[in-house]
Amino acid sequence: MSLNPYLPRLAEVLEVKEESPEVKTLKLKLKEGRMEFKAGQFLELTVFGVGEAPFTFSSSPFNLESFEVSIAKVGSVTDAAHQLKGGELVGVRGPFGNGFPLEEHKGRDLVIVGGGIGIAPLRSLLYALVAERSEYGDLKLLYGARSPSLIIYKDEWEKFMEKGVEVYLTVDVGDETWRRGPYGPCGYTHVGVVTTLFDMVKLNPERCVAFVCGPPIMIRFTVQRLLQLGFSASRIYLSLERMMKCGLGKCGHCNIEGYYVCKDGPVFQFETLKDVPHPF
Amino acid sequence: MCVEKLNIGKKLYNLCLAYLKIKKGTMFINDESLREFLLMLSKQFTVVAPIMETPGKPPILSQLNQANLSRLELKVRPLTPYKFFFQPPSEELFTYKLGRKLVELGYEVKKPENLILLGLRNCDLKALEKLDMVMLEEPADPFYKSKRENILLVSLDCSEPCPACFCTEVGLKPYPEEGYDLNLSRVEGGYLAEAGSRRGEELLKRFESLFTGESEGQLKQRDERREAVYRKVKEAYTKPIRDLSKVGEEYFMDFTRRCVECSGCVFTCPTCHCFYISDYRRRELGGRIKTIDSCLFEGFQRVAAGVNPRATLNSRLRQRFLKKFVYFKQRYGEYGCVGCGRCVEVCPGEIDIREAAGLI
Ligand SMILES: Cc1cc2nc3c(=O)[nH]c(=O)nc-3n(C[C@H](O)[C@H](O)[C@H](O)COP(=O)(O)OP(=O)(O)OC[C@H]3O[C@@H](n4cnc5c(N)ncnc54)[C@H](O)[C@@H]3O)c2cc1C
Ligand code: FES
Repeated sequence: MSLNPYLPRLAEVLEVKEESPEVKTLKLKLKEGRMEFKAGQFLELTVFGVGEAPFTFSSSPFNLESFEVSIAKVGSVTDAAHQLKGGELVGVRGPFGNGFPLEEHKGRDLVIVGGGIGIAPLRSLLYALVAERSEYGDLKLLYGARSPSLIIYKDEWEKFMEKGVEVYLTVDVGDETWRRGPYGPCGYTHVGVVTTLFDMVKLNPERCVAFVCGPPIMIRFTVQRLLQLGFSASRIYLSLERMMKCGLGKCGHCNIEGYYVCKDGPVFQFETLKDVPHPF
Repeated sequence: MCVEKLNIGKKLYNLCLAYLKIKKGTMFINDESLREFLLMLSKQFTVVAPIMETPGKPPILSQLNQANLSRLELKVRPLTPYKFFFQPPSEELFTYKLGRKLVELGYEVKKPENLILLGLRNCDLKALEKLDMVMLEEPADPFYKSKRENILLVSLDCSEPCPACFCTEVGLKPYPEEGYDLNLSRVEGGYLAEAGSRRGEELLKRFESLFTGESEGQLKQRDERREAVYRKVKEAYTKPIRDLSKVGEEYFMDFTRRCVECSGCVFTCPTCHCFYISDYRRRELGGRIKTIDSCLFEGFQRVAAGVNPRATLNSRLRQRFLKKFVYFKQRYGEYGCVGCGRCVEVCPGEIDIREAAGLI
């Protein structure tokens, strides 16, 4: 590692894919060396001349040739990232953070719940799980977006189903295409917030672990629902987000009470946060 | 860990002395020779010291020279914290040059040459140790590290604690025991000077002719003065620090009503370390800087879509108090406050951290 932990490494944009009107996925490759990371970890991406922002890896941790981030356009860096073209150079620092604790839960069922751009780290998680599919019990994905056009990774859900993941999709507000069920084989033409998908699946809290990522309100309702279903607080993992600058536990920006999301997170056991006022 | 590496020189030095049963090089310097010593130092080094600019107001840090030597203030601690010499308000992290399909990155870790900070109290030294825990934790901040390794520290026993001082309540003593290159203790007619590192020893050696050996009486006097100041601070407080992790958010409302969000407390605090990072660009040249920041500012945790987990001033003020007395301790095993009282002195709303901590 460089002696200057603020200095990014250079990476080339190999490919830009438009996932939805709001989200693009960048495929990146380091100019030197390889990026090794765990599902759930994140990087700091520099668009030179604009700034730096944190994004979770959305690709498989087993692919060491290149890596991907999926970026929703919401501000200055994300805006500039959406204008990048293949062949351009960006800066990356990382990997940072803890990632999902998969080793601990081998043999169990997993339910993965994502909302909005929160699906990005969960896609990386799914790739990690299907690569070792036989190590786990039932795998269920519950994913919701505001509208059908905002569902991302559209051409991948079927493939995940083929690899043994039960995929359930929903949208807050449907439209013509959704009603006709374009995702026929791989899920539902369901309308409703993501927690309504819990009514369609059978979970056994005794042998199941939940991984959740999404906007604060979605996390709040999902946790509530999981607790009602009998999940213990130590079987619920949340990937959280806070304002970040350094990624190193020094700038002080990303704390939730005594925890730094950049170092102690971004994945937290709900058990750790259950007595914290307003964790999400 | 790196924090240890940094102090290891000083610790090793003390250990060797103890092992060889050598008494530390304590010397005496009288008031007149001290003037001479400081004058010569200020010619060979850049010496930054507390200077009385406005009588009746706390001194501020300024470069010592022949003209202001008479206004050097060694009794009252300066309002300016020493942290800015290690963690400047703005600092460049790297630069870049953009070409076609090319980015050149560069950075320079500058090494401060011949800089002496004079007048640090034990609270200031301990505050630097706390900053070390954050900034030198792996991966260490190389800009901070270079300054810590190169700047010489000449500290002082406290002889006149400010009314707002409460170092004893956060477990500190009002006199330094480690972490300095040279420490000065007031005694009758002059100062006892004690080296705390090889570089401190070299300083004493270089100006040998100005010093004399200390006498038993002087050491005894120093210890008595130290004890008296310790007692003076200690006896001002009768209640222990309250466990702020157990109080509700409404506990802080009384302070919030008086807060004008100026962040004076943050900027004068010797342990507040938070910073912002941003980019600048001029045509094909650009760079990234880190700048001073404050958790009291409204936007400190606001994210892109506008969500702000600490939107209320009360939640931000609570954050600052808990950072000092709860979170820092959880993370690094000790309070994040050194009891220097600077925030008490500077606050226009008369918010008193001692009151928040339950001490008064
Ligand atoms: C651990 C983590 C993982 C993330 N993963 C993804 C992801 O996979 N895909 C995705 O689209 N978004 C992700 N985000 C959110 C993303 O970082 C923000 O959308 C982004 O920082 C906005 O930057 P901006 O410059 O466009 O916005 P501006 O409003 O211009 O923000 C300026 C700066 O503030 C900071 N900042 C602002 N919002 C956030 C935020 N929400 N989180 C952290 N820092 C912020 C950044 O340093 C940013 O450069 C993640 C956030 C975190 C903390
Ligand atoms: S991002 Fe700086 S401390 Fe976490």
